[in-house]
Amino acid sequence: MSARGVAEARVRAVRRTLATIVIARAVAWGAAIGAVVHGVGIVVSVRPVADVLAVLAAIAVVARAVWRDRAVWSLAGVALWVEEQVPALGAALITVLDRAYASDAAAAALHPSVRDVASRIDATPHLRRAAWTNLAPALGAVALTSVLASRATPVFGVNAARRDPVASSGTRLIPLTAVVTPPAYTGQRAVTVHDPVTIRGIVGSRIVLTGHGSATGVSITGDSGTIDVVGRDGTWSAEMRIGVRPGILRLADRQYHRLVIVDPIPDAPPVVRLTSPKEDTTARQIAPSATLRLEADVRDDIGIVDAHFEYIVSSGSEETFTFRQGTLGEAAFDGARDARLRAAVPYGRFQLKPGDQLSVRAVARDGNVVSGPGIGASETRTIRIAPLATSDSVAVAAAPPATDTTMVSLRMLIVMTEQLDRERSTIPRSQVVRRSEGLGDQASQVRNTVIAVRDDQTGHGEAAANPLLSTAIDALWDAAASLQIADPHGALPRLLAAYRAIRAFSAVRHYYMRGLQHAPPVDIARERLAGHDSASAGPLVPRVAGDSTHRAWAAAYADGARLIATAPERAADVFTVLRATVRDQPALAATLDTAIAALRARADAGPVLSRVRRTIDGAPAVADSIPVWGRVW
Amino acid sequence: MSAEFVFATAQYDSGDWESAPLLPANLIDSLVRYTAVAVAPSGVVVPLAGEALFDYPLVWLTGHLPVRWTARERANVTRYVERGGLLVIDDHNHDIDGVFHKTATDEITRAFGPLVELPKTHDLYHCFFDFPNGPPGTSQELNGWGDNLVHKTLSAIEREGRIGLLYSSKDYSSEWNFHPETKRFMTDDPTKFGVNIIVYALTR
Repeated sequence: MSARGVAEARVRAVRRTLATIVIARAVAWGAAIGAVVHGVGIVVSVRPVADVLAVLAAIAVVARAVWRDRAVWSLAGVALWVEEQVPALGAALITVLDRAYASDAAAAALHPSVRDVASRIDATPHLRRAAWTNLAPALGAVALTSVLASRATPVFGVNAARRDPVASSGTRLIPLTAVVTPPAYTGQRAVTVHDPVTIRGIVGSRIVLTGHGSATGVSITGDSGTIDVVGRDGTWSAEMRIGVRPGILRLADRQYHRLVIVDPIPDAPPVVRLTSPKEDTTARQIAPSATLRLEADVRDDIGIVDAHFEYIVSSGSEETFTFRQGTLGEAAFDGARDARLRAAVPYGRFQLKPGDQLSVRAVARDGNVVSGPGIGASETRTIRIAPLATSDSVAVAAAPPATDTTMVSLRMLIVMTEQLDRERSTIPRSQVVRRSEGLGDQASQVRNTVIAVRDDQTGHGEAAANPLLSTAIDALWDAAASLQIADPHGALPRLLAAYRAIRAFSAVRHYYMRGLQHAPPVDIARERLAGHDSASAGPLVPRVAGDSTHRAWAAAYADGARLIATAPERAADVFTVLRATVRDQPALAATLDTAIAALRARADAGPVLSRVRRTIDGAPAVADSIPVWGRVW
Repeated sequence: MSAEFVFATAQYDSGDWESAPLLPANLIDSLVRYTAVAVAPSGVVVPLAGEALFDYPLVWLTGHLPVRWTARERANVTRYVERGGLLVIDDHNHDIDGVFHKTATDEITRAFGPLVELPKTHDLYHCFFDFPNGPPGTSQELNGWGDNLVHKTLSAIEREGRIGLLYSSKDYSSEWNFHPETKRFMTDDPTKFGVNIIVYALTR
């Protein structure tokens, strides 16, 4: 190889290294400047614009640095650099390479010395030193500016009020999208919620949370543990199901965090209302051919699958009770939200005997295959057949027939008294007296019947008498007295008053009076501490006030309230956790939502929080004395 | 209002709530015999659906027939237990296949969740008289009626670390429903466990 060829090869090798250093240094300074502009953009809350400026600034800096060191691209420039680093060359290298000064013949003449010189060129230590002195400051600047930019928070501008890391642009937790897909059996569509504070959905719904950026470093923790976060195409996502209980998702991305409430909407069981029979009934006897008409309204929030009536026939007394159970009128409703269930059954099917009790109710089932099925039942109606034995423990007073008979008798008595009153002036006095005395005797008999009814009702005076019966008895006494002195006109108002009272008594809804308890009172003075068995009571411990739920809420509220002044974001988090526990109190939950939003927006949350406190504490209870057993109700 | 303990029997709509009319007098008698607790000489009947329920720290509910609480009764019972009352429900049929047991436990589960068996070490068995073997047996359990089983434990719903609802299949309502004059012929007073229940309700 010629001397020039050898020199050029050496210089080209040096040039490649120098060019790499120059480009690396330019890129590093460009990145550092870009990071500075990006950080400033965060501080002054102009981030989208600042990011564009950062890129432009980085490009400009790179271009400027490359242009400034453009000499590195020419062999002569690199040769001069080598000559500068190795003075022993004595300009021989540049002379050989510069064709303007050294012709091929001259170069050939210089060949021995140039070859000698070229063999002595060792640029490695110089290149190492050049790399260190040029790249170290640039890389240091990149590291420093990157750290500063990552820690920048809004100080000026529109984001200044939301300096919380959650709201800053550095987090991958904003924006956040939640797609809530209800269980298939509901037939409902998926719902997308942007930047949710609370995600509501039917129990069993699938939630897919999505955010921008890679999944690395993003974590989500639910009440039951960590949830897997996966990355794909520049986004991260996580999938979970809505459980039966409300919960909190704790999202974290490096130093940023975010709470999201998961508020399950339970698939409510069907609401069933028995519309026929309307009320409990007692009968002396029911013909087997008579029909029991059953009707029920059924309503469900999602859909009813099927419904039926359920009956229990209870027979017996004392230790010999037997029961028969069964279902009637099964019907499928294929997901309807409202339905009416009907059945008509002859009473003969139940084979009711005196003393039996027939209990019926309607039961409906919804299509909940996730946490159900939800089963709803109506209230129970009982149809009792009065027992024959009056000594039965559920002895029935003959009240309904007696009052019915009494009303018939009394109506007849009133009609006859009115007739006598009309004819009083046209018939002889003796006839008026005789007829009136007869009517008076009948009034007394009716009164005796009512007294018998009252005695049945009160256990012969052991319980308070129905005032309607007392009114009727008093009025009939007065009426009988008037009739006995041949004053039918004066007796009529009393008879009418008695009739009204008995009619009102018959219309009382629950006229069926069970047997009364005959509990003998205990002679305390005689029995006090007369027992032969000794015992020692255990140590007394203070009883805690009841209603732990409200006390837990009040404690959580107090925790949050203490943080409002010093750490409002933490206070909002505490109220968010509280919010997740009050799902069965819609008013309180809504008020808490308002309070949380106000706290996060740095608005005045005082009035709203005072409403929260009042809701938790409830209305002040006013008692006129200390309750008997010293409890706070 | 009086500061005396008043024994209350629950009156509910669906069944024969009055099936153990002599039980209150016997428990009151035992409470007087063995304790210094101030007590009213006779009990009261309190509707399960009424506000008066909350005036009594202990309410006894029994019967043979189906227990189907009305919505009002269910809400009241829930509030009563949550706020510190003690509702004792005793199966007068002593029959776990019987309709009282099935419907009552169904109602309890609906209102509170599943019943939990009480261990023999529970305070209920030691708070006054000591019952190291748990709930004392009754002669009714093996009398040929009901399920003819000796039920080893009682079940409960606990709130705030204390029993809010006590459920028994032992038929204390039959065992303790004797005429008060009979007690003086008994060698061992069977109602002593009733004293424990009342003392527990008043002191825990």
